[in-house]
Amino acid sequence: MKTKQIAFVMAPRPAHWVGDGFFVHNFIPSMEGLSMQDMDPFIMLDYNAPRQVVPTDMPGGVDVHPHRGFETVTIAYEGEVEHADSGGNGGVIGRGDVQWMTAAGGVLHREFHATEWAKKGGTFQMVQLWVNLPARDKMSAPAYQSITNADMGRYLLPDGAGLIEVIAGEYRATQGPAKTHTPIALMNARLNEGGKAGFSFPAAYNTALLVVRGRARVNGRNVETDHLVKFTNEGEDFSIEATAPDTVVLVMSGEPLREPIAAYGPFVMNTKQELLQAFEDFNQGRFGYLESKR
Amino acid sequence: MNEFIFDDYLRSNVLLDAEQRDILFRHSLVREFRRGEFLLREGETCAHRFFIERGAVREYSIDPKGREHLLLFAVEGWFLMNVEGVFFGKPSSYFIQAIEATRIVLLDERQVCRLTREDKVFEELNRNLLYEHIRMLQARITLLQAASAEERYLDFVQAFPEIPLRVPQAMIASYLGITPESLSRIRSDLARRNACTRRSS
Repeated sequence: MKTKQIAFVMAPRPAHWVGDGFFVHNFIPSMEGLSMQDMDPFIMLDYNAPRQVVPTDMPGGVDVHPHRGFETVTIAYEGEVEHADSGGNGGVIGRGDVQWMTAAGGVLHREFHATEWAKKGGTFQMVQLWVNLPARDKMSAPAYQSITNADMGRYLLPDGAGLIEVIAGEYRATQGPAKTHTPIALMNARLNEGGKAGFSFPAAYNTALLVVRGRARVNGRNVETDHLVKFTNEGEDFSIEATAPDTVVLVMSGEPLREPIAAYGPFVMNTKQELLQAFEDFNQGRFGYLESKR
Repeated sequence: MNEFIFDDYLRSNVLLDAEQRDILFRHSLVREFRRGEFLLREGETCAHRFFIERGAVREYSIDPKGREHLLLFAVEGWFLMNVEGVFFGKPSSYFIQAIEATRIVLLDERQVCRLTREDKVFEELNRNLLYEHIRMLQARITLLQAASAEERYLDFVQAFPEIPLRVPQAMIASYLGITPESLSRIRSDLARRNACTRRSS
């Protein structure tokens, strides 16, 4: 097995507001190497770095909006997210939990800081990752996977190095609970200072990691907090070593779909025609109905 | 979001020579506005046309009771101007505000007039834009007089399918001349009738 080389390390770009609740650094799609095609099947990655939220009765967030053609994966590192959709689903994504929403044929969705959490306020930190669906699944029925922290696969690293929380895919035969439509690995490496973990993914898979807490050395290269590492498509193996206490690194790797992408905002399809159909279906109420919170 | 560069727009519509374009651009300003920032307020006089390269803006008035009435939306690739200022040199009765992070090219009306005199194709483009604008306003008046709120909503989303994805519901309601509650009702009725007829594309 060959070492998977680092293509580049990317510092967070200036953050922008999504609605009035999420202040995010966007990593995908952005520069060359991080376009939707370059990171296929990962088509969007927004990162809300730790940020203080003052106590409020009016939680910030994003009101009703549609999605079609992909999955949204929301990882709440700090704070809580309350969500609801046109299928009648709803709930709270707690600290450390993940919500894997398959929008597929279409949902209306809204997401806010959780009401009770917002009353007290505190640190908020979140990742939202969009995973593209293959053409055959884009118009399938929407679905939810609510993955609590306790549901995740847990691999204890030797010598007290820390643990790997497996959300999807597997780490040394420890499986993650998320059902995916194509091969995807998504996991948190929670490492103690000096703790080290090795990873191996097929060379063809598009692979990146994000240091969400602490600091790490990846293949011997120092990576600061809130920075993203993109790997090349050569080699399989890489290692992460924490160089600060309580380091958390989100690792993602997925087999590219290699299908055409036609995207506009919350719709990601294969053709322009399908995009126009998505607009029409949304405007004609074919995504269903969801009451605005505001 | 998408971008629509004014220079590309010009090149694909008119054949101005280098000097004409140079003069036009020398008299144009490019400005960025944050969401919520005003391009123009009531009472101000503005002799610039706006070309939106990125983002979205709205033109609206506020009545004596403090209610907002949305006249027009404009997104990337569109022109918007305050007619009172640009054509009549009078103060605006409207506000023009960015509803997303927006980049605008401000075109000096004197330069637009000069090019209109000099260049037949530019004159034609300008005239056709104005004709199209008048046609759109007439259709809007007729809809407000004769169509139901649902018909107005359906006409709006047919003409501008992407706007409902980008602007708050209350603004769309204001544009249609209805309350946000009525718009909710229309959307919920449509969903009840159409939700199960989703087409696979």
